[in-house]
Amino acid sequence: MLDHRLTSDLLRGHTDTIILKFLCDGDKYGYEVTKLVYELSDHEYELKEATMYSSLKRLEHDGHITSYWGDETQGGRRKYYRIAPSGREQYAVNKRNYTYAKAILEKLL
Amino acid sequence: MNNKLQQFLMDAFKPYGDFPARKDVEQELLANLTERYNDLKREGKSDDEAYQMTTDSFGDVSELMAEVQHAPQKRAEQEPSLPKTLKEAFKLAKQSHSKFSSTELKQSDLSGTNLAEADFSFTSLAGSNFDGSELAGARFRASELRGASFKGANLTSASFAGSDMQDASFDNANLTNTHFRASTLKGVSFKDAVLDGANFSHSDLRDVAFDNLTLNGASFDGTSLKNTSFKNAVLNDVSFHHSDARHTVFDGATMDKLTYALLKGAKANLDNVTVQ
Repeated sequence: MLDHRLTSDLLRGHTDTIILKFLCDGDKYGYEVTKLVYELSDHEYELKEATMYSSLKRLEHDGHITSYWGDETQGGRRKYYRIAPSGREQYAVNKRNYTYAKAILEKLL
Repeated sequence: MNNKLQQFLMDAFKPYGDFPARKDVEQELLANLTERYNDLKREGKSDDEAYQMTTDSFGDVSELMAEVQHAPQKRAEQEPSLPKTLKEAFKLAKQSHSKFSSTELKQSDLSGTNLAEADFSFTSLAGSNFDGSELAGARFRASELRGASFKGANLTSASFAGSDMQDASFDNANLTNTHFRASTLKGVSFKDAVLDGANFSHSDLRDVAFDNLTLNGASFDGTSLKNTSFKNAVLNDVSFHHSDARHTVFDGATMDKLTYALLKGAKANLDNVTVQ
């Protein structure tokens, strides 16, 4: 496998965008997002709990997502996140920026 | 196992003490970790393996705290008390040499603040409180300072030009080499102030009392001195060029010969004066 640390640094820079994308499809809680990342990356990339959580808090603080507690009782309560209109916009912007950067990097690398 | 994971989280957050959102954060993370642990168990991992993998997946708690602590701080910045904002603003102004020119700051509480070298030109500061503040070298050009209070402030080498400070108080202030050029000082109080080298040229000093003060090298050139009082004051090398001292009170004052001669020329009543 490639150098793991480097790969994950590059990926980590897109955590906000990845989360926004997943939330575009519906409300999710933290571990659900982690699982999706792991599964959709064909088990290549695992988001650390701390990384994902700080991303969620940042997005929430910026008003891109909102949160609410689920009504589970056993094993701690899940906190669900919902995308806000500005979050959808932010996702579109980030995706555009990424596509642009990717096109340039592919010419250069 | 829930307990073990709970303990893991408690240990992870221990260095951060009881921050406001701690309970919420721990609850949410515990749910995530517990579910991951249960998934790993279902895949056939042993208790220890599952615990190890779960805690390994947690990552760096400091990364998480950077955002958690960041959020409440930002909120606090949005709604601080007004006097606090002003003090902070001026504190920053001092550091960055920014100007607060042409600002409306009436009745501001800027007491006990370090405002050295700050520029308050064209600022409206009527009724503001600068008690005990550090204002060395501060500039107040054409500032509105009516009724402002500078009690005990350090105004060394500060300059007030063309400013209106009627009825302001400079009690106990350090006004060494402070420049009050062409300013309205009617009714200002200078009780126990230090006025060595202070320059009041072309200012309106009507009804101001300099009683009991020692004035070394102060300048009162071209000033309006009607009903201004220097009772029991000590005047050394004080200049009164082009001033009308006919209605100024010098009873009980002590002065050097040069100052006496100048005042004589300014038609002052010096009957009860001691010349040294």
